[in-house]
Amino acid sequence: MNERHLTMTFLKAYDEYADGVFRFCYFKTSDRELAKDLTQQTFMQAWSYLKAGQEVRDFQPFLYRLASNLVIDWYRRRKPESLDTLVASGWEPSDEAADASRTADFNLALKLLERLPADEQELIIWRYVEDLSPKQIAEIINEKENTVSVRLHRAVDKLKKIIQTKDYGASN
Amino acid sequence: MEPQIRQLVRQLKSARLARDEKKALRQKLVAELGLVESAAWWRFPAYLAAPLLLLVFISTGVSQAAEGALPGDWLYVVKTKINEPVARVLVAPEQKAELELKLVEKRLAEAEAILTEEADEKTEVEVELKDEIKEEIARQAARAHEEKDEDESEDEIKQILQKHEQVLKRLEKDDEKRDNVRGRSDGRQNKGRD
Repeated sequence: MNERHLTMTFLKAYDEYADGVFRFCYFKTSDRELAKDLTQQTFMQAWSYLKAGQEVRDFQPFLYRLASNLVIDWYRRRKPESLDTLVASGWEPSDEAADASRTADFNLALKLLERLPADEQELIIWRYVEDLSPKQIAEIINEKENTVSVRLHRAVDKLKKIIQTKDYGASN
Repeated sequence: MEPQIRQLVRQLKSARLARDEKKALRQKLVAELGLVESAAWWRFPAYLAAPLLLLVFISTGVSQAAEGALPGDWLYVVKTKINEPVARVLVAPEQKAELELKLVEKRLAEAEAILTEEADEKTEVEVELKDEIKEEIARQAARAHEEKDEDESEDEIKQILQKHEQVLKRLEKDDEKRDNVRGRSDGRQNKGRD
């Protein structure tokens, strides 16, 4: 693929998938600016991959896999600090983040989602928010398609119960 | 999907980059990666491309077809009221005089073409054409007056008129004939009333 075609492919992927990648990073970190940074890093890594001559058959799962790894790295780099130290340095807990774009309904939806374990949250996000197929999700998490379908089914059942009982307790 | 889950999903989907955020991030990527962006044709809505192209082809075709139009043709309006005024605007100032003279010649050439057609169709067309010729000559005279080279312009106009002398004589002759016919028919009507 020549440079011009590579650039066109890359920027087309950005135009199409940047919102989804941002959304995923935002759900995982609850920090808008951080989510933007992680989105940028995701695409920069994608570019390096393309420049190295690697072929990408399906951009969507590829980008989410990169984003997922970057989120994990970010969590690992964060030093465990006491809540007092964090608050003293100006940090606010995620459910009180001063993000003006978040409506009450959005906050509630996020709270309900956060009641699920992290891996099940991701399955729900990828399948129903980002409209990926079980096959694409399997590619992201390196699992079999059947396994993804079964886990997804369980996650949806749990979420239904959470919504019905309006269980907004502590997150998993 | 259950309605409650659908509602939850709808809320979660509302999280997205703002338009300016997305654009800024894109520009940052382009700058940092040193990308050279060619014309983003793929971002142009495909549903607009075909009608726009068709419009361009049609208007270009109409404009070109109008060049050969004669008074009486519907395209003559396109020629004299669209093509030529546009040409006047677009031409460089130093070439305006030349353009006006060309247009005077064009009017006279059109007159010649008309006069070879059937006599009956000619009358209204000749009137229209004479008006056009008069307008062109007046425009040329006005331009010459502005640029204060009236003598030179007058010479050039005289040359063109001499070249098309036969056409102008014929147009004047037809004028006289028409006036005579009108005069006789008015006379007969008045006689009838008396």
